[in-house]
Amino acid sequence: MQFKNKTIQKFWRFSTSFQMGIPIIASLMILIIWGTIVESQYDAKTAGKLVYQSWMMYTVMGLLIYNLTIVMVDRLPWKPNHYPFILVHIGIIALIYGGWVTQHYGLDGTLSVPIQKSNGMVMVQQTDFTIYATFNGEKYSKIYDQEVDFFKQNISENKPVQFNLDYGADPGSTSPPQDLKIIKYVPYARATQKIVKSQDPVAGSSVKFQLSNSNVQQIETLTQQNKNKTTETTLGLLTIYLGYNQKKLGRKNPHVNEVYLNAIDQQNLDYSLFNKNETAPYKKGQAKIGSVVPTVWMGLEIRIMDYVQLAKQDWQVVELGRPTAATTEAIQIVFNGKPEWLLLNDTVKVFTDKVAYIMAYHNRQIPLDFKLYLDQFEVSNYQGTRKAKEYASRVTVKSKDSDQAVTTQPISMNEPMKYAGYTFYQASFEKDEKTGLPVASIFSVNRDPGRWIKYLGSIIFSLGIIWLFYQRRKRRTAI
Amino acid sequence: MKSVLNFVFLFLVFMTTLNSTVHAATGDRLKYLPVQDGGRVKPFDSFARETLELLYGRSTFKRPTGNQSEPAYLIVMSFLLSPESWVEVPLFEVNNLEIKKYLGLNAEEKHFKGNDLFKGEKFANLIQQLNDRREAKEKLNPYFQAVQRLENQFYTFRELTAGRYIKVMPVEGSDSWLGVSALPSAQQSLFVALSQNLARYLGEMGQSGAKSEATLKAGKELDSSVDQFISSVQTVTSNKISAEVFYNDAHLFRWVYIFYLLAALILLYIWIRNSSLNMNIVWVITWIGFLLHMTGFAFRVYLAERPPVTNMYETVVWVSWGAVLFSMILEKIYKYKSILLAGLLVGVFSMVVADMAPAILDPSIQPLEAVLRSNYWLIIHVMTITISYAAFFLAFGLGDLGLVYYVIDAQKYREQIKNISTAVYRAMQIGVAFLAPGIILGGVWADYSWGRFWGWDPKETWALIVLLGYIIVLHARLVNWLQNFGMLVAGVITFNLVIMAWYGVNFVLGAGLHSYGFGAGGIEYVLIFTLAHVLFLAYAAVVRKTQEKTI
Repeated sequence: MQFKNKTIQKFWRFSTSFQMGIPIIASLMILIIWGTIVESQYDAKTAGKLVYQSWMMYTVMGLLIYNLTIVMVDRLPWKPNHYPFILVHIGIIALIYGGWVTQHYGLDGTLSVPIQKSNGMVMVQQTDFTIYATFNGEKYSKIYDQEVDFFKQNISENKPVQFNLDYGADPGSTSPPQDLKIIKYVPYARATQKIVKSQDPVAGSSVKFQLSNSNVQQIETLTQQNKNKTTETTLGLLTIYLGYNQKKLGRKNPHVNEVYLNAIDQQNLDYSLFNKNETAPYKKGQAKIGSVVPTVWMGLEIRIMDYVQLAKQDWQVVELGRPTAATTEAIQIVFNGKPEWLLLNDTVKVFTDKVAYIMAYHNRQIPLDFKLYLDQFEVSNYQGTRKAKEYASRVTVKSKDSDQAVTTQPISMNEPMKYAGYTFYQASFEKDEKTGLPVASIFSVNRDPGRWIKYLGSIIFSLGIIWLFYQRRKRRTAI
Repeated sequence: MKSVLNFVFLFLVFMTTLNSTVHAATGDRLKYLPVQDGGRVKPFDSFARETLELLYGRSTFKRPTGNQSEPAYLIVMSFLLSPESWVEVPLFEVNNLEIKKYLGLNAEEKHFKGNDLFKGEKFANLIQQLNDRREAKEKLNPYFQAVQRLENQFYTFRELTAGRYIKVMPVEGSDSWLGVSALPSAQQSLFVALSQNLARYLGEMGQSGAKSEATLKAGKELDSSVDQFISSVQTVTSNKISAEVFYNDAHLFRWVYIFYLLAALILLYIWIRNSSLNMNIVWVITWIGFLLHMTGFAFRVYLAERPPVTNMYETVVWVSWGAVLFSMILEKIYKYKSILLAGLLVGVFSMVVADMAPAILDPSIQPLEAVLRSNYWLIIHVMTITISYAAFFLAFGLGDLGLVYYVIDAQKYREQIKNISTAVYRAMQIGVAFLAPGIILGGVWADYSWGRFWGWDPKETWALIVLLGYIIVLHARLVNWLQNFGMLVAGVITFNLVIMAWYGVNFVLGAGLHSYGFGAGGIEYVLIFTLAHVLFLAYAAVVRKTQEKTI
């Protein structure tokens, strides 16, 4: 192509030359090499945020497409010996474009379905910050819900994210709104739990106890989610419940040895011990911190080590320089001057005299128009080992409200299920920490409007490459 | 036609001799005892070799006093006979200097006694440190990887001597076999008889030598007690067991590099001396090596029931096969001789590396990760990508060869240099023609089984980096930025990207979804290899400059 204007002509020549093409490819190379190093030092998420989804990447990709296109345009009108090179260039552009379509219009998330239960909410990478408020502790209304990306946002005590909460304030009230700030973001947090006293009147209790005889010594903590929720643990031959009103409701499982613990007041707990298959407790009474309750089961004693009537779990967070498999993201919020840690996919509850607020920092959950019910999940191991050979799920698609089954299909490794424009892949499974048995199946869920573009691009590109290989070059250097 | 017949004949003769030399000697029935280990049933021979590899670092054992190598199957079984004497023998290999220093061991020694290693608080402290690491779910650095091996050695030896580790008897209704210590009494007594016979056999061997009458007699008794034991625990016999023992003993891949080396030397002689010797002889020897290469492959496919491209060792073997194949094809077309030479040298080099470093390139056959259990895609995607590495490896070998000419005399060997740089260009083209579709097929597989076409996973990203690197070179050649010298240099330099994609991602970066191929070790050798080439390039460049000045 020729242009009359000298500057344009010069720029055109530059654009179509290797003086532009090679530096672009080289900078793409350097950029993604850096990406792989970041990923090995940190994790895939960090590499994505810092490199692959950064402005630098978009710039290089833009320049690459510009260069690929303009080189083709420059060769107009095309001759047969141009065809393979044009195919290759078009193929690459289609691949990049397809990738962009996927990223912007596709859905890529995970769906975890417990065995014999159903789930219709797909969890995706994007994170949201949500605030709920309530007067009575029962009915909550959502008062704030916004996508957040703290990774790139530089949050500090001097540059906090500020909220003014005035839920339920009378119009025209002069009292200042409640002050909520996010003052810190920790990308790689190692969090440990500790139990502290709560001001929440509906908070549950927490008991830390030791179970011991001459052979066994085990320490456990039971913490209720709230006053009305029972929590339990099974230790060998007995099950221990906290917050289950057995007097009113009867025994939970009469076929095992059971211990019921219930809060009475700030100091005292009520306990009753049941042998299996007996209706009356063989022992009951009150206990407080330091009490020892002997049992008839192999000489085991229960020693109450700590007890909080109104308890909540609080996080202690250590900031690490690099992620490990045990780290998570955490933000520190300050509500009316009091700091609290909030972990990703967890909640924090705070109170004023009148209102309770729940804040959640979580991966976005996208509802499907249907839900998946996990009928069955199977893991087979290599003989004589615990190494998984294959795992497979059997799922039933159910309509969202009526629970009506639509179809039942298997999903296994390399054998996805397609339904309603979504594809479900067997990704992994969750194990019970104690028994090691699977409890839930995890699927990757995906809807990809860019797929056909990428496949088309792949075919065009591959054809072009192979054609190029067969094409005999007329130039001196390349035979 | 005649040469083809010739080499088929030679090949058959070779295979028969090999077969007769490795086939059953007295006292070795124990090798064929089927055991369950690592998710499959294997001959005791393989089990013993792998175990000794872990404990001792080699598949044969050499006593500190003697100079004879003893086979793994006798050594490992004798652990059961007298565990207490084996902890007084320097059996356990420790390489990590830091660990040696911490345990107060002599840094210059390689093997240590169990009693010096595992008794005492320091070992317990090391294990505690390791467990803390695991608790925190942190990545293990080379030091802790070494501690992990030590822990592994300790537990393996303990479980072995306790009779729990050698699982010899299938149980109906369970997929886990019984260990030696848990056998029912009938089988137990047969196993005791086996052990006694083994002790007698070893004793005779020590006293009167391996070839003596008494040893042979004891060997026969041992064999029959092994057979009795085998028939008492299971009825089915498998051809696979004997095939695997043959595979272990024959060591086909060693013969492969011997033949390649032989072919390369003869070729070099013909070429340098301009000898009238017929090229056919080179071709015949190359073909024998090549067919042995394929035979070894066929064995692995038969034993593992999958394409053998799932770990570093297997890909090294596969890539060197590809490099030889491409060099043979290009040689047939261009008849430069240099192409076949480069291919053979690459083949020798990589097969020797694969053979020499079992601790880094693990030759044992391991079960596949669940996600890889799709042979069709495994073949298509992994094999196309790695075969492109073979072409790039060939380009690298050619580049090296061409640079040697530059160093000797660029003027005199002008023709050869031009030919070689053309061959480098061709080899790179082959590589790109396989790599680009291979990456795309990887995307298709990932899309099909993980649900995304491209995810910037380090392994796939590095494959792309390799592709971009070679594309830059090919384009630069196209517009004449790279002349002959530049092409040769590019053949060598760009291969570093392949090394990174192939070895580096798994062994250095160690991140990402392709974690099933991860390993450790060898980085110092790879660095030396790379640095040596950089120095060589610099030297060649200097020589070239001076040559230009003198003209």
